[in-house]
Amino acid sequence: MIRPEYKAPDFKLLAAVYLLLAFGISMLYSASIGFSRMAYHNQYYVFIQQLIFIGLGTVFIILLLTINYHLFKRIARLIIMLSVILLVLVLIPGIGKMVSGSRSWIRYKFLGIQPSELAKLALIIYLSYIFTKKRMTTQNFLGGYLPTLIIISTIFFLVLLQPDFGTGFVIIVIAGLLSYISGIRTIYLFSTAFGILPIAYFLITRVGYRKMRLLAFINPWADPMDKGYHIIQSIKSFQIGGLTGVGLGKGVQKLWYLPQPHTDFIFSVIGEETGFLGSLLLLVLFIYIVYRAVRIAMNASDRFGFLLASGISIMLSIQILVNLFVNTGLIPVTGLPLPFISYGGSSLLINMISIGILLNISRLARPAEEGTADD
Amino acid sequence: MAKTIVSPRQFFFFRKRFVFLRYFVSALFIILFIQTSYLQIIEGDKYEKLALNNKEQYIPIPTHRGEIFDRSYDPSSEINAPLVTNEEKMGIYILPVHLTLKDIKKTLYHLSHIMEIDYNEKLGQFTNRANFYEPFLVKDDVPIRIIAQIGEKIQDLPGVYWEPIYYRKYPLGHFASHILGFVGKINKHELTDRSEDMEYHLNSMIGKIGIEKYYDRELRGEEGRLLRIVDALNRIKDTHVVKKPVPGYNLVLTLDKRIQDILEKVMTREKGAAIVIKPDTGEILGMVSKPDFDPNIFIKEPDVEKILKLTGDPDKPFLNRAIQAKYPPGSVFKIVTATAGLEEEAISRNDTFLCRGYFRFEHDDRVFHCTGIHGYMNILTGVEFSCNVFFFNVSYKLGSRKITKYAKWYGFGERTGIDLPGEQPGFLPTHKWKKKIFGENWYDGDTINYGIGQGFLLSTVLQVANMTCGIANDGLIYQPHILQSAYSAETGDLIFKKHKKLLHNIPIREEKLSILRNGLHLVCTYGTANVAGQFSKISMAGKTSTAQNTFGEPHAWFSCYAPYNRTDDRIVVCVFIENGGGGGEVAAPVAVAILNAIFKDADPVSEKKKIRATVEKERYKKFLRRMQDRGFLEDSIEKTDIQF
Repeated sequence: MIRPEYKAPDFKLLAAVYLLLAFGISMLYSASIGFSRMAYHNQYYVFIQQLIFIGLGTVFIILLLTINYHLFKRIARLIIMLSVILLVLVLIPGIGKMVSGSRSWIRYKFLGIQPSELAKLALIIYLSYIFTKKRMTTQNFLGGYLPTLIIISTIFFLVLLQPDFGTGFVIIVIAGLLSYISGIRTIYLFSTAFGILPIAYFLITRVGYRKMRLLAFINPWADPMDKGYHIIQSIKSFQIGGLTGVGLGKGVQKLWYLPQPHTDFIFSVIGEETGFLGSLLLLVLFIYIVYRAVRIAMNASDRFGFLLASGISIMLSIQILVNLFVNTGLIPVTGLPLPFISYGGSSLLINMISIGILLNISRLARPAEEGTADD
Repeated sequence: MAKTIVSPRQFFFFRKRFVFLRYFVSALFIILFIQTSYLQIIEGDKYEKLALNNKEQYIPIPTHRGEIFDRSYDPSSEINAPLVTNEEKMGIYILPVHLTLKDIKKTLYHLSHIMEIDYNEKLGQFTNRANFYEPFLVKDDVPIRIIAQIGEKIQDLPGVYWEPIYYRKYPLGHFASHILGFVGKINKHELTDRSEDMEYHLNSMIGKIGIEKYYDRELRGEEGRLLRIVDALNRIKDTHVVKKPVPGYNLVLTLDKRIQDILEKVMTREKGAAIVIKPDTGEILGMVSKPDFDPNIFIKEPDVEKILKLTGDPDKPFLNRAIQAKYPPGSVFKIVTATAGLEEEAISRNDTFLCRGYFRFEHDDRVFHCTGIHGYMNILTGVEFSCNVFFFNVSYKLGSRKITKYAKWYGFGERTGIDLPGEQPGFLPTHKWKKKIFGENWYDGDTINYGIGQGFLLSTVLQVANMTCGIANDGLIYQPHILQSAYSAETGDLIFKKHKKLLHNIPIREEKLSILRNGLHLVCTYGTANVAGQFSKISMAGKTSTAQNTFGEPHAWFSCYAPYNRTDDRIVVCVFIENGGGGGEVAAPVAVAILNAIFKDADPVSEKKKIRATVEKERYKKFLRRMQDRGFLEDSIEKTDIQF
């Protein structure tokens, strides 16, 4: 085997990510003071935890810069198996820990992981592998598409059982879009989508709180004190923020009004405290990161690298979009963290690992003379 | 290169899709950009002024903690006297959200002119709080007159509001203090344990011991939340109840106030515990542990001096001796050995052993003493006179493993699962345990000591009472419990009712059980509790115990049930006096006094005094008679005048 020729990684992406992390952690500190004091009697608690995870993530990025991403091709099946096992384990009471109504955590002493976060990346790696290895996957139903579909649905339903509707949605969108760009026959995708629709309808209407969230979204002012409350308070944070914001640390919405200001609704805190300028900075950074990720995908040296980078781009964009859409009141409330900003170790680590993989793909990019996909 | 580089043309068939997706994602980002700009630039300006003028304040609405009643509670009546209730006082608070430190200083300054508070002290308390944003209690127990004055000047007092505070009140003081428990301010440990339960926060009160602790979540209810909109001048524009407070459940206990009162009186100035249980359901009718304490000292302004005195007391008044301490049970454990002996056919009704006052193994010099020289003993007389030699022989024949088997059936060595915190499991020794701790083998001497309830064996008072329940209730032991039912404080509806739960079914045949009962009845008529037994106005059966221990005087036990001759309305009474002395002389009179008070309404205290005096007299007479028999006394006993 010939040693691959490494190029310089995409430093622009790296810089954007760390700029975002720096902005994010300052805002996280401001948003979490109240919560840290109340729950841990230490106003720096959340801040320090997040710093530790950023450090850990940096270690992963450095490691992944030197580990050829083709390694993931070889261990794809192992990763997906591990991921499914963890998703099953987390459902067992005693192993899985209940956090606000869903069993989504495995905790062993000080170590805690959220298997559904790992599942997202594992699925991307596995799908990239299977779509590269077997061409028939994309063209043959029984022999190729169906087994893949079974694996996707297994992960999807295991996540729904926790129940974590938000992550389930992200997983199904990642799987669908990655299959779509891998060139799968359109008829498969459409028939699967039609199969999912009744399930989605059932999930939304039969589970009381989801239906209520949906109704509250349609008209939050019908019941401003109770069900429409989160949406109204979040929108109000942006309105209070205005152009320049009320100033770092001076926001009041995070104190009593916003639900989970340090996780799902951190964008609202940013909107209130730093105003439109802060929100714009955040948006620009996110768009730039996604742009760089897409560029890496287009310039990848092989199909596996292309699919892997595309999958990561999709994962990042869908999480960013869903969270920001919820915060600005564009879609109903779904509990999803904002990548690189929200408090949460598992989510942050997986996102930073994804960046590490992207950087590695960029180091093995196609030679420039073959023409870039930049347009 | 090993890996083939795919040319852009080979990408082509999905390239179109990829580009399409890029446009789609870009469109979504554009929508997001438009929405953010709209909210922050166009609507932002409009909201800025509104937000400055009208402020929203969220204020917690406190709720009642549930009251606690005894078993006489009648849900249809409104005049039930509670064992634990709440006292309502008005408190003045400051809500710091929206306020600067300058505002707060101003507010405190004004308040210090209206009510008696020290400005500097309050400011210090305010700035040193762990959570800056939670409402700050300025003063409690504020009279309505002052509230009215504050109401008039509310414009100068931003963030001030008033609200009732509910203080826990224990109207009967010491009454059942170990069972009821008390509440106190939540500590860090308790808070982190409940970090997922939103009803617990920094200012919460929480049950510290007893029922208050065990059923804290049921008693607590849910706090409400009030949304108040005030204008720039702190005038209230509008209020909404965002969440209605839900009061905690009212709990009805199995305790019988009359019986508990008898126990409290009769056990005053003793150190020990007494339990009364209904054996056919496991309901605890009364349970005391002495010395005790007055829970009211922990409420409102905790009386630090008294609390320190109590916590430093070597008699440990906070310890519930009925369930939280373990003691050697002594001779009451002979009930277990007798059951094992009869059921395992180690002895029959008519087998006898000769008691010469001591027991000795062949080829061994060690001597095990008896309580007296009893002569030929069978199972009935063995129980009656609590003859150690008889039970040494039975235990030796059985072996320790068979005794343990029956001890487990009677519930020794494991928690009963009573609904009170901190119950001890007691201890049943094993061969392996002894090897591990002492590095020695298990000797036959250990077995025979085990069979009379001495040695390594430890049990709680509740376990001994529970064992007696098994005898009184045909071998069925129900789980002892304190809670009977829970009612909603709002509607009065029954929320929860405790059903009896079978804990152990002792495999003892009816004819064997009746032998044992007969023996226990003889204890109270001719045996070790004969003097106290004479005073009993109801037929009873029980067992005394004088348990040797390393801490001083032996512990006095007496566990009995009554009535002996009827099976309906049986109750079990178990009395334990720590380092009290002889079971028949010290504990049995207390139990008889309790039975007489329960069944015949006698005064328990005078009854106890009378019986104990007689017991002492009889003992003295016996002593004199023995002296006379041995020729130490010349006069006949009848001539000797004994004064007590």
